[in-house]
Amino acid sequence: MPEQAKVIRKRIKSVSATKKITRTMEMVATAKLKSAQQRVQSSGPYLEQLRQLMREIGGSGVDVSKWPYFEVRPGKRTLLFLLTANRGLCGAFNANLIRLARDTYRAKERDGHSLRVFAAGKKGITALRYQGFKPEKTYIDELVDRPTPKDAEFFLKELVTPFLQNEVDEVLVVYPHWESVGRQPPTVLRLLPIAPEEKGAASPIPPIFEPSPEGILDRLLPLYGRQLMYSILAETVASEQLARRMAMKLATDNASDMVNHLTRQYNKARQAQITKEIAEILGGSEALKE
Amino acid sequence: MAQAEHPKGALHTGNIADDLARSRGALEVVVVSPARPIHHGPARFVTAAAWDGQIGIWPGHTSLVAALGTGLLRIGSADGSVKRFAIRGGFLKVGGSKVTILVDSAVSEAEADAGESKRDLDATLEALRHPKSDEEFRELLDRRTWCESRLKLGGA
Repeated sequence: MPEQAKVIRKRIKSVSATKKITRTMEMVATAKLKSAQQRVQSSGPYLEQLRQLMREIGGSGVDVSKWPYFEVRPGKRTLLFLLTANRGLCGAFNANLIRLARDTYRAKERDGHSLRVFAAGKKGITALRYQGFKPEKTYIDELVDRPTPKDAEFFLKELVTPFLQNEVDEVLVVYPHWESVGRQPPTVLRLLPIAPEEKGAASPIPPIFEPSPEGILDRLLPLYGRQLMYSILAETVASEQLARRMAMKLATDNASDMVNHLTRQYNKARQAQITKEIAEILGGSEALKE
Repeated sequence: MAQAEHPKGALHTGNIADDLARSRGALEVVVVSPARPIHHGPARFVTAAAWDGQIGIWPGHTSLVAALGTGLLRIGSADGSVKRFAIRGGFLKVGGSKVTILVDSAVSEAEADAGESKRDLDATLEALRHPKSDEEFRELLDRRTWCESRLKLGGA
């Protein structure tokens, strides 16, 4: 019995130490989530306004075919860009994104597409390689906790260049789309060519464009692309931190339950030991009386 | 100045801009940058540095989408106060009484640092003496205007 109590005490100590770690990780994720969520929320209005402008320009009847970003090509060459986290311990966050990327890859393959894969985030890169995919370009250090418009410009350039050089016909991005605090579904976004619905419908009173719809679109497209990519990066970071916070909270709660359970077991074992010792003493004194 | 009754009920002051502002209500102005919303509120007028010069918006302006350049954005309130921002690039959109301004970079009066702006301006002026290409020359001219706008905000 004393051996058993000792073993249980050791386990309690070990679980308590784990609990301390998960609790700290939960707190770190909560702090990081706050600023990440702030970035998602504050970048939203600008992107929405850019989208509205795109729709208005589309409605003005401008011929967008001279911009290659809108060009829908008949070819079947796809670039798939997967965004995951560099770190684990965030529940099913990475696994869900990897699964969606894999399913998209296979579905496109069945449709006769030839695919190229770019991947950002250590977890996604490792999983894709393990599953037999060969990511052509990988990004680990480029994926940061606090993305800036410069980071967005970098990724945008990496994805737009193959499209503009006519090496691929479409660019898909797999990332967690931040809909709300309760929902961040893994999503496939077609980055290029820009979807026709973005061109919008004609408005009843067309506005005056200064210098011209074409001039506005020339200036708008790079900003739109950069802001869209910034938003994707910000949403990925925020979703990762939220997933980690949830996972660590669950782990902390489980550790607490385990400590309580083990403490009860320890008390039982200790009580059994005490009872046994009392019985032995009583037995001994009875023997002496006789 | 003698005042006469405006056909729409407002006082006629003889000042066309004031008449327009009084007769057609106020503007709703929204300013957003890539990083954050900057300003949202009613205004009497807006002036901004457009791509080819200054642009002014009063209530009743026609629908407009204009590319912005580098310079000052001024938002005048009904109480006579004027909020100023140094802006660089973006778009201005007028639809009804709503004015939406999307700026690439913006600095408010509270954020303007005269010392830093002056240092940037000196460095730009120095670089302007020997530009390596036409493109760099244009870029430096734009940066000079950006520094000067921030200096104006900083009270210099």
